[in-house]
Formats: sequence, C-alpha cells, structure tokens
Amino acid sequence: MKNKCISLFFLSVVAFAHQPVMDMAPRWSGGYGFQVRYESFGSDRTINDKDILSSYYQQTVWLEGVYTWHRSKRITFKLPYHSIEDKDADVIAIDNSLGDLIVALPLKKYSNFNRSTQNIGFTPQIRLPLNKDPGINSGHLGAGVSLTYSLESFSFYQMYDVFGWVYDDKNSQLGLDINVGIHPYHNNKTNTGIFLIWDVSGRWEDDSSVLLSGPVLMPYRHKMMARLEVKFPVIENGKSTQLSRGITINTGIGFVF
Amino acid sequence: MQYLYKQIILLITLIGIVSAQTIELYGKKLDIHKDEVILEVSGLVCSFCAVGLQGGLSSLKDVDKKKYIDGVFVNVEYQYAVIAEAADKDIDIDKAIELIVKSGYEVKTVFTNRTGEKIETRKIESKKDEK
Repeated sequence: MKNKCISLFFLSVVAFAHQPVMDMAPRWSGGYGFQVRYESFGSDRTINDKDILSSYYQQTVWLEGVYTWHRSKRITFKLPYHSIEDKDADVIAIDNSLGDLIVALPLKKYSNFNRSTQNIGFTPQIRLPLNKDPGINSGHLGAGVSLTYSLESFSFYQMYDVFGWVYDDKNSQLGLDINVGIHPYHNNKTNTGIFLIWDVSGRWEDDSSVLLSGPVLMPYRHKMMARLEVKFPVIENGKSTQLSRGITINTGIGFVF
Repeated sequence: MQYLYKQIILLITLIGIVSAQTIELYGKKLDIHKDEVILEVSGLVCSFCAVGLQGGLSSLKDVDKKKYIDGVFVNVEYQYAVIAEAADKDIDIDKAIELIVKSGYEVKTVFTNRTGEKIETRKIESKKDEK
C-alpha cells in the first residue's frame, strides 16, 4: 500500500554515508566492493519537545557498490529502499518503495608519508528518481558535490566532508560530516581489527537545520568490514513546527575484492 | 629417540640463525630470510586498504603461498610487506613494486637476502602513479 506521504515538514538527510567500502577501500586499481546498510530514524515528538498526534518513522535498506579503476578515480552507486510510516492525527500514510539512485564519481588525490596517508577528494554526484510517484524521500532529481579530506595513521583516523545538494523540487542543502577516531586493535596475521570513531553530522536547509552526533564501531576482518553507528540529535532547528529526527541507527556490512 | 628430536630442532634453529639477517624499520628489528623479500611501503597504515595490496602481491609468480596469507605478510603498524619466495626461485621485484604503486602506495626500500649471508638494500625513487 502506498499513499502520498503527509504530515509536518521533516528535514530530509540525504545519505552521503562515509562508509568503509566507499571511502577507505578499494584503493587499488581494478578493485570493487559492495555493501548493504540498514538505517532507521524517526520520532513522535517535535523539535521543541511538544507532544503532538503526529509521528514519522523511516527504515531504509541501502544497496551500495563501488568500482576503482585507478586509485584516484572511482564510481559509486547507492540505491535505497524505504519503508516510511507517516502519521498525522488519524491519518497514516505508508510508503514502501524504491528511492532515488545516487551515482557519484569520487576523485581522490593520495599522499603517502612515512607513518601516515592522506587524501583530498572531490566528488560530483547526481540523484536520479526511479519512482514517478514521489514519496517523501524519492522522486526528485538532484545534483551535488562534496569536498573531503582524510588523514590516517596506524593509530588515528580522521575524515572531514563538506557537501552541497540542489534539487529540482525544493531547497538546496548543505552538509558537514566529521569522523575522528582511534584504531586500538589490529592483528597483522589475520588482518583483523577495529576502529572506534566519533561521528558529527550537520545538515542545513533554508528553514531548518540539524546536528547529529554519536559513536561508531567499525570491526573488520580481511575483505569484510562492518559499521554500527548510533547518532543522537544534538541541535534541531526549524521555523515551522517540525518533528524531531530522533535517534538514528545505521548498520552495514561491506566486502571488497 | 627424544635425543634425536632435540638434535634436529637444534640443527634447524642453527640453520635459521645462519640464514637470517636483521634490519631495523621504525625501531622494529626484522629478520630477513633467504627466501624472503621485504618491502618498506610508505602510507601503508590502513589495514582494510592493505587487503588489495596483499591480494596483488600473492598473484606474483614464484610466491610460496604456503607461508603467511597466500605467501604475503603485511604489517601496517611498521609499514612493510614480506613476500615469501618459492624454493630456489626469485620473484620479480620490479613487478612487485608496480603492483604496490597500483594499490595506492609508494615503495621506499627493498631488502633481500639472496645468498643468506648478506642483506642487499635497494632504495626506490618515488614512483608515483598519480596523474
């Protein structure tokens, strides 16, 4: 069943998830990878903590892939499938549908040092609507660019990403993602280890903004890497009555070859 | 019988000591055996990224895949890779360097111990694959 989604304005957060398969690997020519990611968020309270008769909950499964034909050039795709429950008083809209396909061309300039490596990235990307009947998070053509800087040593990891999107149907959006973390364990014999990272994500639109933050756990073993993150809304602003995004849970598993 | 085992173990240990030589990388002492090549690789700090490098080096001809993981050991803490060579065979070191560059890194130094008695050190000029 699918109805056009209703309810209060909700700040959409375009996924530019800095997931392992998309950023850390594959760095080698001819490398490829894919990952599956599950994301959920939503709440039944407004950003100023008022109880109302509305709620919004979204679960999305992302299928994502990457191909590297040179360490400085990659192509990625992200395809979401949304399950949205949008309630306004007694009216409930449910949207289970394919979202918009996001295709990106990350261009990276790597520099290697004695005990660290860094890269500066520029990523043009487009959002292609696959569904002619738009739901809340689908049906809109968009274009975006991002600028990324990442520095990594054996013990520390940091990544900064600034990006912007424009859409054919609504306001543009600016975003900032920061990942800073440590690499407390690694076994060279089995290539097994773990990263512990703190994530900060900010999104700004014309009449609303949100800042999310929380911990990220990234275990890996050989060609497999997983990611579990929990993000809490730290700042949520909006001119109109607006639902809080609530707690975001993001978990994924990726493989590279 | 137990005496014989002890003698064999002692002999193997002595052979190991004689055929191994030592270098130092970032304060870590490494033995270089006769049938091994060690490559110091700058930027090799990302463990997950090292998977590609490991796979590439394993595909080289004359690698002894019975050792390490398919014949290759990568240490991201001290930024080096060890390639195990098949008995009486030498891998193509230039090909190994090319593969490492294609994996996104730079090779600084190559250490070999072909005779088992003397370490040979080859410094590599920065050979970047960036355009």
